[in-house]
Amino acid sequence: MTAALTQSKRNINLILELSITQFKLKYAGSILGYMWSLIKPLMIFATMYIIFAKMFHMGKGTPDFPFQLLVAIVIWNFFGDTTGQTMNAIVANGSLVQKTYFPRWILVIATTISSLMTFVINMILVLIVGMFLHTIHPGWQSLLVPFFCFEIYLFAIGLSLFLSALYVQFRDVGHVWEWFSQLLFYGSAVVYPITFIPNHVAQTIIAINPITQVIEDVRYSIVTQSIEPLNHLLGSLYIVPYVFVAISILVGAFVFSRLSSQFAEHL
Amino acid sequence: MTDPVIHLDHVSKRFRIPLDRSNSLKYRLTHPRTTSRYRTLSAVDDVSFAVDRGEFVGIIGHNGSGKSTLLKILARIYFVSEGTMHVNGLVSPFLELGVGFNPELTARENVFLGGAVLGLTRRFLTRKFDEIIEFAELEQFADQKLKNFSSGMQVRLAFSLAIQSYADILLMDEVLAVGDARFQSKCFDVFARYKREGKTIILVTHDLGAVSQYCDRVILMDHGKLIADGEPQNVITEYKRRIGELGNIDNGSPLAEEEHLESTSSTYSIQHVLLTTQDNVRPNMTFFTDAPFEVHVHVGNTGATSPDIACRLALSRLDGTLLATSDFDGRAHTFTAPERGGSVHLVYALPELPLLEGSYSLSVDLFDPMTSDVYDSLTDTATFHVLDEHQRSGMMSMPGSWSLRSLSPTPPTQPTHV
Repeated sequence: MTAALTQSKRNINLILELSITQFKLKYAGSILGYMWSLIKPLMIFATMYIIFAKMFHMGKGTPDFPFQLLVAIVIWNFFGDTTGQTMNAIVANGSLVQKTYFPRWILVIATTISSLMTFVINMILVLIVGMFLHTIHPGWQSLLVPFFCFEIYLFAIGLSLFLSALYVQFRDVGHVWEWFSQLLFYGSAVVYPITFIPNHVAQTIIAINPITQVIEDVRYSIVTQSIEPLNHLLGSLYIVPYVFVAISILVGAFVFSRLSSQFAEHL
Repeated sequence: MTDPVIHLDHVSKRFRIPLDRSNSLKYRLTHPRTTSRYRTLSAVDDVSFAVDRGEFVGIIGHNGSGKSTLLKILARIYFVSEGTMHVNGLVSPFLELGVGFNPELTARENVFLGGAVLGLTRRFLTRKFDEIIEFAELEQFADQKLKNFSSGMQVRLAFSLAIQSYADILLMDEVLAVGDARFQSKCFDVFARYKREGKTIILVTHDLGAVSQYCDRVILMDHGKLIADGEPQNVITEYKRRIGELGNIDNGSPLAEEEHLESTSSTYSIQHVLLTTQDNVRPNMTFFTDAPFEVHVHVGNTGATSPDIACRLALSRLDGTLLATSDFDGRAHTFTAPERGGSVHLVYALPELPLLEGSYSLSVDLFDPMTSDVYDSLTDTATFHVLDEHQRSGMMSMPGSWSLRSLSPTPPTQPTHV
């Protein structure tokens, strides 16, 4: 009993130290340092805003579309950063894996922590900005936002476990994922409102993806209640995104635990 | 009798080495039906042993014999392919010093990071921080980045951090291969302390001198198999015998060239060789320049009748350069040979060891002073370390002195031009 407690205390301690180190190294040698993690979503937002809102008029008829776009970019940025960086978690820490023993999932979790912190800070900043611009219309449903944030975090962890374990043996995964996350970016309702898709089948396919679900639900919860909530759109299919998240965690954990015993040999 | 802390039961570890470069997704996708072809390498093959609490076990064997793989199995870095392993106690989760250290971080930050890898909490490390830095002699460099440290400084920091680990079972892979003599002697002091504290230590090394002096028991590995397990002297002899038989397989270590002469006429034999300081009967590995140094040679007789025996010592550097022999006036000192079945204990005393800081090895020859027939010969039987308190440069202490012979108060004012 006490041994188990000590072990989990050691694991938490190791996660903290590893994530602090990664955080320090990530911003070492840059003048703006941590500011970059706040500036980057803004820059992506500016680009997407000019292209999709100004040139293609995609948000027409959607209230406060620029702010909705900003919220979506912050959420997407968290998901993309986490999966992209964490895929490398085992390989990048090869010497640790080959020379010490600790549960390998610690590396995956530790790598997600700094993106998670950035995400939380970004969300809070977005809320503050939204309050100043009066683009936030909070209600009881706003209390669900932390839940949605946690949901996308779980989705990212599930995928990261899967990807990082495969990446040890198959570096091809890196290239495939690069392409696939592009596809996910455009296949999730990030740069357009879900109602922009005219075809009902296509709309449903896009809507059952957990990233779309989280983005649309967060938009609905804090930005405006005048858009159609996703559960109306999907009906009984509204459960599907959650099923995807659950599958990603289960499959990710299974694959990771099967392969993790051989990481040291394959590195 | 307590249960063993480590118990390995018919443990094997096999690696699959791909024969063709088929290990990419492309190959797997384009050749879905072909199973990849592999060569199987048994790095550890059907090994069983148990280690009791407080034992100091050495694992020796030539390169590629599976000793490091065995250590990685014990550390749970590798999973066994077959067999079972039971470990009862907290195993130090590291095999090398400074695992987890990052050159871009300061010494302080690395203490917390490396400490976390060892399973130490930030609170504990904060409390112990000054002690760790002081032991590493890095007080002025605590906030400097590790990349600006010399390798010696890095090793000192890693070592003083590692000894804070509170594991019951310590696994060490060639720790002695790094660092200078001073650091190695620090290592051995800590090993001695661990031993007193009843911790279990498993040491993988090529340093047979260290093995024979510190280990209670030695395991010899060869081609993944456990060949011998027992008293250090017996196992080391077996190791030397095998190396003698197989030729010099291991060119990585000068000690591997050791060869126990086993000609039929060698009926006087060197039973063992110990190094001590003058007033210390305990075997030692570390000595000081200009301080006493003694070699104890135990000679046994298994049926020889020669009246006299003689012994010669040779000191050499680890690269093989011969530095000195014990012959006086070109002649060896003669002793009365021991009775049949008996033994004698010879002591060679050097009141002031002239060697400067470094690692050296000792060879012992036992021979007939009349015919010069060699009875027994131990080449590089002990490796020892010398520390010089004055940090002089060179290889030997020079005991000479300067003096002023004539005093000329006014130097010549002008050079003479002709």
